[in-house]
Amino acid sequence: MLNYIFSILPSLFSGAWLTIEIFFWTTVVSIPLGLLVAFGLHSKLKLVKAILKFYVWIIRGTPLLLQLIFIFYGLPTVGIVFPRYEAALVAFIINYAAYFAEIFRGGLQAVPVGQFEAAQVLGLSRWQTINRIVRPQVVKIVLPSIGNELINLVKDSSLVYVIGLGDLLRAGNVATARDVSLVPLVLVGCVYLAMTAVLTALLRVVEKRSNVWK
Amino acid sequence: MFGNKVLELKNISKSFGTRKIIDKLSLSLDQGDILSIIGPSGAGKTTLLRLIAGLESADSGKFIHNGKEFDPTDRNNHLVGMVFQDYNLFPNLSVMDNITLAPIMVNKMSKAEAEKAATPVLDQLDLNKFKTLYPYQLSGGQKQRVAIARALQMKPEILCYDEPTSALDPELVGKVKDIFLKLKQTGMTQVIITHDHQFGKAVADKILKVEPIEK
Repeated sequence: MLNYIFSILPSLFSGAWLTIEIFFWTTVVSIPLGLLVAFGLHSKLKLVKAILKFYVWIIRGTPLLLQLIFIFYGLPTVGIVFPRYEAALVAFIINYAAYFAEIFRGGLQAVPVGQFEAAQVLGLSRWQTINRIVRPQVVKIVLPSIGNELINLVKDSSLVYVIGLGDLLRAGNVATARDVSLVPLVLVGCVYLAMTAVLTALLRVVEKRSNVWK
Repeated sequence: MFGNKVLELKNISKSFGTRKIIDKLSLSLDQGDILSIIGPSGAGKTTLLRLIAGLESADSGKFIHNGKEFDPTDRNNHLVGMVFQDYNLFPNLSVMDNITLAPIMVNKMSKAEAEKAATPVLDQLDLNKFKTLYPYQLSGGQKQRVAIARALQMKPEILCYDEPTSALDPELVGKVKDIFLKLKQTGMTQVIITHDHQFGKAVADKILKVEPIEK
């Protein structure tokens, strides 16, 4: 039994590595992108606002699975071809940026007008106000929601299975089919649990650090 | 006491939509004056204060400081400081950082300079033992004194207070009055909104009674 577990672990770990890669790139690109979109949603330019609202509406209103299939299998029919891995990253980044944008938009709205006014009377510039007053408050407000989304992302990454990428879930599924054994799927579950546990612990540390003020 | 006209308002008007809030108001304050603005809710007290502090712009009329016209909405003049009704302290900053933020960011002081400059004010307002705390750890009266200290650090010539006594326990009201009178001694011109007539009359050199404008 133990020998069997050790024999499939390398393929599971290489699958897990792909999961981590997708998690990493989606996080580092879609959070700043989401912040930009959130500022855009507050823009005075009506056209910009309308386009961004439409983008958020489409992305949040349709399944991520559909978006993945659309980008990898659909777009080539109109001449836009992404390799598998890139297709997955594009789909995840576009999808998660929309969710992050909504979270940041809510966070920005939750900062009381009085904070902006106090900064204005003190003579702080807009940039100084955003950087020293608004940003720290928004970060604190959105932290729990961002954490939730990141944990979702770990699990959502298993959707890349549908476009044939060898992630953790696929590695487990292949082993189960080949060896007619439940063990690989149980191990897959354990690896996902381990990843989300580490992430949860990290998020808790970050949240704790932001709790010096209320 | 000091003689010079720190602030004059000439024919200031302000409407929101079709609703006229302030109609051709003129007033004049000498240095060290305390003006109480008294009147019921909806009479435009807060709007007047916000005009002076530059948080709203007037539809017409002039603001004059020492004989020269100025624009209160210009962020680069620091003539007017403001103590908001609910103080609007920055919750993410300690008391000391609340007080030194503007001197550091706007006046480009070093952190050490700004903290040194804050010390006499902290002493005067009895805030020294709170300087490392965050606003959520303070009582209402303490928060108000931090808000006053924060405004003072930008060396305004006029300090405005929106309902400074409305959230305070009765025994603290006397303490606030002492602060106003002490600041007056230093030449600070102060504008106070209140619907507490007694308090308004007790501290003020000048009283402005406002009534809602009839339709």
